[in-house]
Amino acid sequence: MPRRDRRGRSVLYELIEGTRTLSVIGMCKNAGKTTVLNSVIAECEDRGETLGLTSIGRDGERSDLVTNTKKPEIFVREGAVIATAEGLVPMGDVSREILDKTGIPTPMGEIIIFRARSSGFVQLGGASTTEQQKLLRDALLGFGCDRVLIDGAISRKSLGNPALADGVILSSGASYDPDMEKTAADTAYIASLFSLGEADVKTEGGARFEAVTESGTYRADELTKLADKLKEGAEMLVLNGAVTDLTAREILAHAKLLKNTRLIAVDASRLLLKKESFDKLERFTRGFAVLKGTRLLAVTVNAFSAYGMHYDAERFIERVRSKLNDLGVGARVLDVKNA
Amino acid sequence: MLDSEQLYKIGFRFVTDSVELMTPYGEELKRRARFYGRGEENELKAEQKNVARLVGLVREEPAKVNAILRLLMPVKDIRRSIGAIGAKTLSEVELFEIKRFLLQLELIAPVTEDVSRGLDGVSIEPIPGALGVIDPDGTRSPSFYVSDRLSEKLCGIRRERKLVDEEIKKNGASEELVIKRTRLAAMEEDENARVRGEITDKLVPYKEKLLANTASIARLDFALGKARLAEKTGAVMPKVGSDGFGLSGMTNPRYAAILAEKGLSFMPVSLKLERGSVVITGANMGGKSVAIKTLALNVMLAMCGYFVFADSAELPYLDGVCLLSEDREDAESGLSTFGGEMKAFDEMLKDTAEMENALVLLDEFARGTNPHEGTKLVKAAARLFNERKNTFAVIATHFDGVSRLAKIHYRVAGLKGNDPETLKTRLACGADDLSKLMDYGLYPVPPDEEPPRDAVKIIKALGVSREFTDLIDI
Repeated sequence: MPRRDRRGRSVLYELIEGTRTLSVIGMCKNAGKTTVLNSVIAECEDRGETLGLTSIGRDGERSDLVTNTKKPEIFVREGAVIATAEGLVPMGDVSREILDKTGIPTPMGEIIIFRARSSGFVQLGGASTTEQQKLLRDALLGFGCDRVLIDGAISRKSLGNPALADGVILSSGASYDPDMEKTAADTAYIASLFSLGEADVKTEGGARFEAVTESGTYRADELTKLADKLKEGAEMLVLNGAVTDLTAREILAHAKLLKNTRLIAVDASRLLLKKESFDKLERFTRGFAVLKGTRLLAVTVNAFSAYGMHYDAERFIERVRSKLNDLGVGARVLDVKNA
Repeated sequence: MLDSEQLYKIGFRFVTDSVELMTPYGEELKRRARFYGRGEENELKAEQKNVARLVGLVREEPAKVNAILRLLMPVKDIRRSIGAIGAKTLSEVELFEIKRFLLQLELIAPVTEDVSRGLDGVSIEPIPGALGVIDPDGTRSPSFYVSDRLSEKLCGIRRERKLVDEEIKKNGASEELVIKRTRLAAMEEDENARVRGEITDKLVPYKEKLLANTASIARLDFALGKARLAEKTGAVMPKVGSDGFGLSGMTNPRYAAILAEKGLSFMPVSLKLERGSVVITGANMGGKSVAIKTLALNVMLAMCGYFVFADSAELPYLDGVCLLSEDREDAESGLSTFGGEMKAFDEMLKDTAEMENALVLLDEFARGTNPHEGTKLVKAAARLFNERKNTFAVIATHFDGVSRLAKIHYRVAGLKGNDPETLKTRLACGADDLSKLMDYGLYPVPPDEEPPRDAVKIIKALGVSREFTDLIDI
């Protein structure tokens, strides 16, 4: 049962109440993301909200989605509006009223939008580009949804695109790694990326790097070309596009020039570098900020592992809290069982 | 016939790309670029008449045109779903698409009714019978749901399912209830499919009407796109069906755009053609090639039911248009440029042999061989087409002596009239581009007038070292 505060209100609902577009992102499979989503869905629907649901497209997961997936686990009530790939519709068991065929292609067929005319299970599969995701979100809101939930997933390629969501819940669990310390540390790291502050700077893009100095803004695709400008002392260095370990190495080559420079990523989803690289960059510069910030609403933890290496629930929560604290992230930590 | 590479080069794609269409049906007609050949004279006339009427509409009733465009814009290609009628049970999404189309027809039909009456092959009609099948409740909502009204059984299952859901919500999901729920969901799915099968069967009699409507929309959309372009650009209706070619003031939007980027303007091309060989001579600076491409473009447009970029245009019905141009590439066939050109020429001769009316365009034919033999080859081609009574040939060449065989001889003026000293001064004064000093106009000249000798003039104007120019033996 959802945890209630002393006045009987749901903690989870209070956390998400002001969020129009909410993304729930799992650190790995079986992190408890679906449990969280279902709790959020139930809390919202209990209050008479019309929900819109979609997910971030899963590139390259086509075959295991079709062949190996167990029955879908996301449960909606009558009235919810779902944007999903046409090929995934038969995997659900909800009665459907087809509202639109969007023309957005996925490996599982075009994305369609339907309204649930009964309670039932749905399988979500959404768009993969930010543009398409925006279209879907706007379409869902256009069909009268009070709130849009996005089923996100961390992959090698992206952090589940929080740019679209105005609030994020991060789900982590024992299935991530048998080593609790590692799981707690990595979870806190990802949470810290979602908690980066926003930089107040206007950028034009069009190049991988933009150096903001007193004399103006300079652009180049290779950092070497900006070395002269960096010598003047750049206030900020904007990193357009993905920031990987390779990018980190390129930046660290000019570390001496960047002591007083703040690094600006487009948003947390572009930060695809390892914690070690991130830490080094933080150490040698004035640290990171993003152009578009994310509101990390909560971190949920699941001590149960799908692979049998369960954690001690109390200790797990304590470790995640402690790691978050180390990184200065103030997000709530909830046990998925109580979420 | 012209291949897609050639259609691009003559500027045909440039023109068709600027035709704005609202529907995938119209887009498909445009992509296929139907050439109205022999035996299709009436179809071409009908298409021209459609475009002409719509030009009038664009001019006189722009608000009406905008209303039509707005209604056409959301139309999607649903021929796959229509095609599935009678072949399988339609899915909910397919039925949704058909319902949406039927609702669109209800809106489009009244607005296009009077326009369609004056158009050939355009008749957009609502199909209330089909809509009644797919929307038995008459909600006319732009969504699809298998209505309770269509099956008492379905209605019963849904009611029972709702009760179970409520019970689960109230008392929690006991194993018994979960099993019951799953069973009901499966039953609903089965009955839903059965009802969809019935709906599909009832749609079979309307399949042809649905397809006819998509064809009408295609025809209207495409003709309206042509008409809007004609109105915007001042293109005129060509007179197809005369004995010869008379084209005056032709332009080529693609080359006009390229020239405009350099601050130059396109010199309109006027040509008359007779059966046999017409020869264009002139300096080796591209004017001939552009003239040929401009002719090819406007003839292709005319034969595909477009208006043309000219002051006026008349031409005969053609069975085919062939172009052998200097920029063709044979990289893939592995033949030398010359070998490839001769092979293509041979194919062209075979293709056009049986035609009643063919237009053959040769741009710098045989340029890949030595001038001595090249001249002989071009002369032979000119004689051949003079013999053939079915071919209108246009031969652009800078070889000497070919023009004597011409029925009509045109000359690209080139640098004529500018002496080297004046040219040199003008170049020095910032006319950075020789093309600014060129006269690309086509002028009819007597058959025995030889091509101009501009090469040396140009070299001198460019100020090439005298050590070299003094040694040129003219």
